[in-house]
Amino acid sequence: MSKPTEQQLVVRCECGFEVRGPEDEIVPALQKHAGESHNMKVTREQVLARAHPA
Amino acid sequence: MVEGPVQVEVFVLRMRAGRPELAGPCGPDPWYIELDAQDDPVEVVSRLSRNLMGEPVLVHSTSWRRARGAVVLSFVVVNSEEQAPELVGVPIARAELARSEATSAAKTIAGAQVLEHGLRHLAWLAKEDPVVIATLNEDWKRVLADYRPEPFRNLV
Repeated sequence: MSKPTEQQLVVRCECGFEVRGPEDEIVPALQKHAGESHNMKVTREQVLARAHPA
Repeated sequence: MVEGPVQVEVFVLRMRAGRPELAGPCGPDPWYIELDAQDDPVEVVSRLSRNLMGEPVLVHSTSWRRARGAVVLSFVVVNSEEQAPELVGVPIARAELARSEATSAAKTIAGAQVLEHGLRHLAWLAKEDPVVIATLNEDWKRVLADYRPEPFRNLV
């Protein structure tokens, strides 16, 4: 039985930074961007609240 | 996305072929940074600038206002000409300043007006502040000579 394809999501920062991929990739990518570029600590829930299907 | 009661709005500047440009991590748009209560604004702006673009030439706060549901501290960061060449630069246009009434805020303040004031503030420092006089190169002093010097102020 084949593994179901993970849903592809896209999340965009107000500065224009954008990341696409499955949940487990976009969450750490946006958290890293938020910390390095905006001095922000964002939770997984905050990232997913801004994410949309790609 | 950037939230919180105190935020920083950074205009990243560099000289390119004798003309000043906006060239920050958000392109020509202001770069927003969130501050925690214990954060030193200058330290945070300097550290993030260094991490993202290399050692800045100058970091200076030029004004503050209330916007975005927060107190927004405006900064200019001057990078060297050869720094972070991958960042796209946009020439800086002049703008009329947003002037407050004697006891009330200007109705609207555009980013270009904040930057105009920031450059006038830099022009003031380039004449008054020994560190800035020693730090900015002749290209910057020539460009800033066209801006009417103006010290730090509240833009609201």
